[in-house]
Amino acid sequence: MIGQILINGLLNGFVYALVAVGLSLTWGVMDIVNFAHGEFLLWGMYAAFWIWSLVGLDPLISLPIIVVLIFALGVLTYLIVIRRVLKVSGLTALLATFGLSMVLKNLTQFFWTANYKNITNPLVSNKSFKVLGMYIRQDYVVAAVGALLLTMLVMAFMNKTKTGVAIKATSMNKQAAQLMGIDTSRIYAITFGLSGACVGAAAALMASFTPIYPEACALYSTLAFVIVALGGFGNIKGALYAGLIIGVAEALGGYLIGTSYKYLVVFLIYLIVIQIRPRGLFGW
Amino acid sequence: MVNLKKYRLALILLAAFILIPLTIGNTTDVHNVIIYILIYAMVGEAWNLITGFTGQTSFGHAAYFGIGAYTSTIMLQYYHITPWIGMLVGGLIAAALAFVINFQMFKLKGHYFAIATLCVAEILKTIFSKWKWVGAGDGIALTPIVALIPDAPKSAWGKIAWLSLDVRNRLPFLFTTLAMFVIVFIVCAALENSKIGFYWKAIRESHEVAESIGINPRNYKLLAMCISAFIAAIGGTFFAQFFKYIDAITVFPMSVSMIFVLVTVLGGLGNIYGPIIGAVIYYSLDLIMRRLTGSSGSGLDQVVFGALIVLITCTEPLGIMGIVEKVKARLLKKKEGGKENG
Repeated sequence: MIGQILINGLLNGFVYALVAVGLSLTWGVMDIVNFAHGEFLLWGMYAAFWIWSLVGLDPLISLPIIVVLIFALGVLTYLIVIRRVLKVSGLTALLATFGLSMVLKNLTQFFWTANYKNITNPLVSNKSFKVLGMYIRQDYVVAAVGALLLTMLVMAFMNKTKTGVAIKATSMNKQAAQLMGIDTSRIYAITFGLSGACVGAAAALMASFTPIYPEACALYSTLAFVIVALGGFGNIKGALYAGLIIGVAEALGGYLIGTSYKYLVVFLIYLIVIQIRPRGLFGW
Repeated sequence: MVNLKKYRLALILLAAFILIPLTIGNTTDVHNVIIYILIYAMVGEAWNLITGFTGQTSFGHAAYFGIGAYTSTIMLQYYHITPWIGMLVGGLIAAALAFVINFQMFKLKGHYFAIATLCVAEILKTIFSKWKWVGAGDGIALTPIVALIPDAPKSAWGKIAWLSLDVRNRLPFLFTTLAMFVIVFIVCAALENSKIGFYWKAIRESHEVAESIGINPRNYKLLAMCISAFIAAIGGTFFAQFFKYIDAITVFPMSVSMIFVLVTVLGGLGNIYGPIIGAVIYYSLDLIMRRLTGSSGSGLDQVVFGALIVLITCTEPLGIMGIVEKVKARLLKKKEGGKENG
């Protein structure tokens, strides 16, 4: 039974991690708290839904399209809003992204009402298969594996490509990066886009088994904040591990104490861990 | 004598808050908006103490707000004690809680601290939404004060004291809230200009420098947090009396914590006028948008409202008080220029 719970939590955790990796990029690199992160996820899910309902493409197949769309949304957000509030205190940027989140969330309600939308007959069904006496849902496995692959892809991008290294350099010291000839404004735009791409992918992976409505993503963004801080800011590997820890903690807490208390466990874990490691699990 | 010129803006605001509800805004709708403005500006001032002055971002002030709301409500409902005492007890409990929680938490810096405060509020939300004694998921609906204690309003003064916290008499309640806000404002202004206020700002500007000149940052941060929590709890009491119903989802969620952040940052962070100006702008816009679109539930008013917030922050990143300061500086320049010429 415990094994069953652990595996479910772990599968959830991979998706949490991908959402958190996206947040970690903007928060860690640019020191911008993006309150519209959850709304990026929401727009990704609506994109998945409409591509499915109008063209008939399953979210898993249209994933690249959704990634590109939300990447564009991220870049546009940077160009139109964030660029103007970079110079002042981070809380002003927070206010701007909060306004943006209101716009994005309520636009979905305005266009498509607050009713639940569901994708029926997805490519991967919600049937379970049995491994070592545990029932594992196919669509969860696909989402988790996809999320893990994409997280690793982002990590590889950050470590292996020139742009990725430039992003890291900018996050460590903006002035020095500028002196080395890095166009930091372009790097910021790319970082925001990349952050959007991560949630776009997460949205596509989740869309087939998550009801889609304007409030669907509020929980994910709160959890993403905690996961990013737990892992250590700007640390993608940290966000991945923290996502898994939170996923498992949530499942175990729900089983051992009661479903309504599962997030209590998540927040308690953060408060305890942060006492021992004041800069997150993998912070330096 | 107090230099009145220095507090010109405060006096103008006070006059507006007294006159508008009596004259052009003499409708329940406007009264409600003004009461909201005052309550959120009050807690905004509290949040400003710890974040604007001391530089420690809190995303969890709903925790203290909620403690205040619950404490005074429970004392009123279960033990028939006036909210005037309830709010003080709530304030003390909130301050004590702030002390206990933040004693360890203040070694955290920046975002790690901000997320920790968020976690505290979320934990309280979960506990209160499951705690049977405080109504669990159903929350508590407040019975009118007069119905609760039939023989309380015996003397005239007792009557006024009880009734002014009864929202059914909307205008007296509004002026009581205004009076409380004025007290909070004066306390915050006095704190800002005191030695403590300067220590707080020193900590905000540089932790290390503050330490090097002999300030103990943790003690002063704790002091700021406790005062802030106390005021937030008083705001919570007024909210409970105004809203007449509380549950964990109304007083503890992150969205409530964010309102305090938003009104203050919109008005001007670290500025004593920030919260009240921000709250006025925020809720007037909200009211206008609702009137224009007829609050059809389509979400369109919220879209325009959000876009306006983005627009304001993009054009004036220092908040509304940033504009005021700019205009002031320009006027001053003109004046001086005029003097030189003349």
